[in-house]
Amino acid sequence: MNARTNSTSSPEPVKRTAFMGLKILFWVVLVGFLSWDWAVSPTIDLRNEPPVIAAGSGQAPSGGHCSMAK
Amino acid sequence: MKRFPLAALIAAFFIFLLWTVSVRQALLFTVGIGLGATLAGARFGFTTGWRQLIEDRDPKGVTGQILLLGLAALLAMPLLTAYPEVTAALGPPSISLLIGAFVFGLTMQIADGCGSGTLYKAGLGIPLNMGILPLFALGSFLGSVHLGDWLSLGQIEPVGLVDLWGAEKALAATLLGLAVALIVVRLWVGSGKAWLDRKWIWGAVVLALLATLNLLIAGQPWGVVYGFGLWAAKAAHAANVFDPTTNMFWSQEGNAQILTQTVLLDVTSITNIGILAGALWISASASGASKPLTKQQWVIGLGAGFLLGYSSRLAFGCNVGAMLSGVSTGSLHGWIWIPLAFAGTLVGVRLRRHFRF
Repeated sequence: MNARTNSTSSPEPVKRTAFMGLKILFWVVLVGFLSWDWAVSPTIDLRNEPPVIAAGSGQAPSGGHCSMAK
Repeated sequence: MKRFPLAALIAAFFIFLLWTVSVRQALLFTVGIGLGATLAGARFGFTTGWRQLIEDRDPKGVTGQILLLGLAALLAMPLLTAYPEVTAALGPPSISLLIGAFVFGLTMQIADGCGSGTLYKAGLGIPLNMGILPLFALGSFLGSVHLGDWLSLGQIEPVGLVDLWGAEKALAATLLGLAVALIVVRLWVGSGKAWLDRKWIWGAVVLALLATLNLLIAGQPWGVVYGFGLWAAKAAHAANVFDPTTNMFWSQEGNAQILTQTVLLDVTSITNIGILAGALWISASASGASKPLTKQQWVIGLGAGFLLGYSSRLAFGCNVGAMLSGVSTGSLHGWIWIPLAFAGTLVGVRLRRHFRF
């Protein structure tokens, strides 16, 4: 009974090739997402570029942050 | 992949950002690369440091994190008063913060990575963290969608110590709080244990400097979770399964605007991409090998990854956005986050052992 239990719950190591496949898939999906996002998003107005350094620019930061409730 | 072609690809993306997006975003990408390379190179793991303290009574990781918080506060707080446009990471103390921080601390031990940890480990090519990343993003998005309901359970306005007391007093209070934490850690581990080693010291120093650069360039503290949620929100919006105009969080002017533009303009997204790139660069010479997982461990790990994303939104940040950025810029919510997340971690390490991770 123990042997049977072990055979059904024993670890099934995922092969190294599968890990490499997952790694390639991960980067393909990420690059694909960024490419899709770039393609469907409005063109960036380069003349309205944010300040290079926000500190001292006098402009409030425009980015989202995880601490924001709104 | 070898380091030279990787460096060439990263440089090409930097030039692309510089040419077609903005100088600021290109600089923030570089800061992100530095963060990713440091996190991965020093293996500066917030999750591991807490686990080693609990299981081995090894204080090095936590001492390194306290050093990081102290240095970051020392650099950030004077900037907040010198430059009024630079903002702190102010989250509201709320019921959602209490629950979110506890669940985050619990699940980060099972998923073996917090927000930054999941990013750099995914960049290193560790299978579970690569699998977790999209689920983290989905969880973070759903957390933001439900945030209005969670906040209705009870909240107060964010409390910023720098606004309240000024930079000097806020810094003194922060360093005092960190010193007390250090004493408690020392009492827990007993005498005869090394405080720190080189890895944690250089990791803390470099991360504090890079976090400060992020604050100066972006005008806001380093964060991770918002970018993840944004990516999933964009995908959901494009698939017509999510209407941001009817949602409390995503209908806010700032978030609604960010949702309409490319993620390459979002400051958090660009540092996240940089962290992945920096860790990938490190992986060219460091092994990303990890213990193979069983099917059950995969399912539990991925589920924990989803909860990690969801709870980090409820908690107004992860170890980076709430703990590091919150405490170093004087947000009360960062100080509430730490004990709640640590309590969750106490449960998480037991569950981790139970499932034999």
